[in-house]
Amino acid sequence: MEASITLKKVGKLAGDKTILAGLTFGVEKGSMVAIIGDNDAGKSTLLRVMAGFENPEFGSVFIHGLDSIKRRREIRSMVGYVPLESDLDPWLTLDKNIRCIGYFYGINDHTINNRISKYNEVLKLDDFLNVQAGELSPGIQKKGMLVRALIHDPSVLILDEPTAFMDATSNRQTWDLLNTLKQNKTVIYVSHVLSEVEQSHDRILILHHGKVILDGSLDKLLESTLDFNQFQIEFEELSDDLYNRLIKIPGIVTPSKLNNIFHFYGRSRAIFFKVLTEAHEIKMNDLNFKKLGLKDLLDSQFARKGLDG
Amino acid sequence: MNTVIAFLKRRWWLTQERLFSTLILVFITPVILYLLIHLPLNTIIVRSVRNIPYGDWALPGYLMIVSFFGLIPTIYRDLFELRLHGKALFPITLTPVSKIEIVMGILITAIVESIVYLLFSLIVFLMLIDVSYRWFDFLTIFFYLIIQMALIGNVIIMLALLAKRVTTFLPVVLLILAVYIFGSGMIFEFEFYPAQIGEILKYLPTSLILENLRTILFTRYFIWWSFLIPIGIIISLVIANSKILRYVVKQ
Repeated sequence: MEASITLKKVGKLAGDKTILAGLTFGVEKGSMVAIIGDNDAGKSTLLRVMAGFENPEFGSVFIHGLDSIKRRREIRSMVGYVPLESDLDPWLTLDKNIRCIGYFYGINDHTINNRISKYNEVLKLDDFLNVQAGELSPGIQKKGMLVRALIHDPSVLILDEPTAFMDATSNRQTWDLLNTLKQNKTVIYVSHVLSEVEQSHDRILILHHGKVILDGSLDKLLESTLDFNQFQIEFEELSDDLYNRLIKIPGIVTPSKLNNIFHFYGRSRAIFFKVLTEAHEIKMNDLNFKKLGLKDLLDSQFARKGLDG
Repeated sequence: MNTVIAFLKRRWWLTQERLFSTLILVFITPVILYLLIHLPLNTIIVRSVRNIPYGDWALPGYLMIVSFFGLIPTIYRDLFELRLHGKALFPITLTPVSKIEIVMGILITAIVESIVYLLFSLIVFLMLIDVSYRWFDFLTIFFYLIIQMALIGNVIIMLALLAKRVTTFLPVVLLILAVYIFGSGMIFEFEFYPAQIGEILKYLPTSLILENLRTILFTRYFIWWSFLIPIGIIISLVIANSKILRYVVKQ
């Protein structure tokens, strides 16, 4: 696959602190890549560097093979960027905010009008286009920023929390648009809404302390790192003796005990039955079982150490 | 050219939002200058050292003072407020427009806006002050006003880019304004100052521009060096400001 974005040993510092630690990866053309991670993992900085909003301290970013610093002017036309917080001009209407940026790209009024109408059909911004941006809710502003980022028809779209501040309807409209755009644009976004990430991605990058610690589709990530189930059994009484017997059952991973609740992970459901058999003489009050997902991947230390580690 | 047109359209849209208050200020500023500066000084000075009627001598200076006020809103808004608070400068920096084009675009927009204010102000001044200029003299005055605005506009741009707080920006702007009004020969001649101070003030770039203009208006003589030095400074400031903009937006 042809690479849309390529990062080569990209590093970014803030004083003594490393924000991005020599990142090297490529993003395929026409793919949708989600970047997730803890707060302060460097996600937004990574987006800003990819968008040309900030320069890396070392390393290089290439967009369609062009160096983002040496060929800055050409790159600008290829990339659309939506930051987390509103950067609309509060005293201009939403329409004029979008139109103004279109003029800076040298786009004529006819094309601007066509593009605004096209995206307006999906995002339903009719009632807000002629309202001053400062008077609009943050969710509407965010939709306006998305249209503004698309006004020059970029081939790469970089979004920091694309649905931040949005209600359910706006959220759905935005994802409908992004999933349509994915067919002919590369979309890279950061999100903390893991359900959205699970639904909309070709690839997920998990960032931790400025490094990519996991990279792949959700299925691949869960398969390689977390093909585990989470089990929880609440006993009437969980004695130390019983707990010690249970944790010796082969296949039980990271067991823990909280009062009378026994919590553990295992790759197959058979382990669960082994535990039930071992503890059959003790009365059980509750049973809980679930297949792990992206949230568990992030919540746990698995991503960093591996479940078996 | 696209950049300048985009900045101009944007500025026009913004001005429409506050057209009434802008018009009031445009008419009030020359009236205040007339009442508080011209009336008292004209009774003291009457004619300049070169025997020019004070109204003729001072009018270019008054217009330059008005132009200063015309420059501030655009530059403050785009390069200070929207850089630090609204962040609306950043989407512009992500377009395929160089930093020097952004600086030039904002400067030209500020100058164009200021010229419109100056035309209104000139009408007010002409109603209040007797002057003996011919139409060609007004063209010359506006040509020099543009040069003066390019110079002082660049100074304000530099301040707007370097200042991080409004409590820094405002006092420094007032200080620049004080030097601009009192140190550039706008309302007093340099002969009123102690000799050494007057000698230094004469060579301020803003003084050179105004003195060059007055020399043309009153003696029909053009001094190249005092014209070229400010032009050189303006070009250097535009380049310096584009570098500073690149530095402050970290691009």
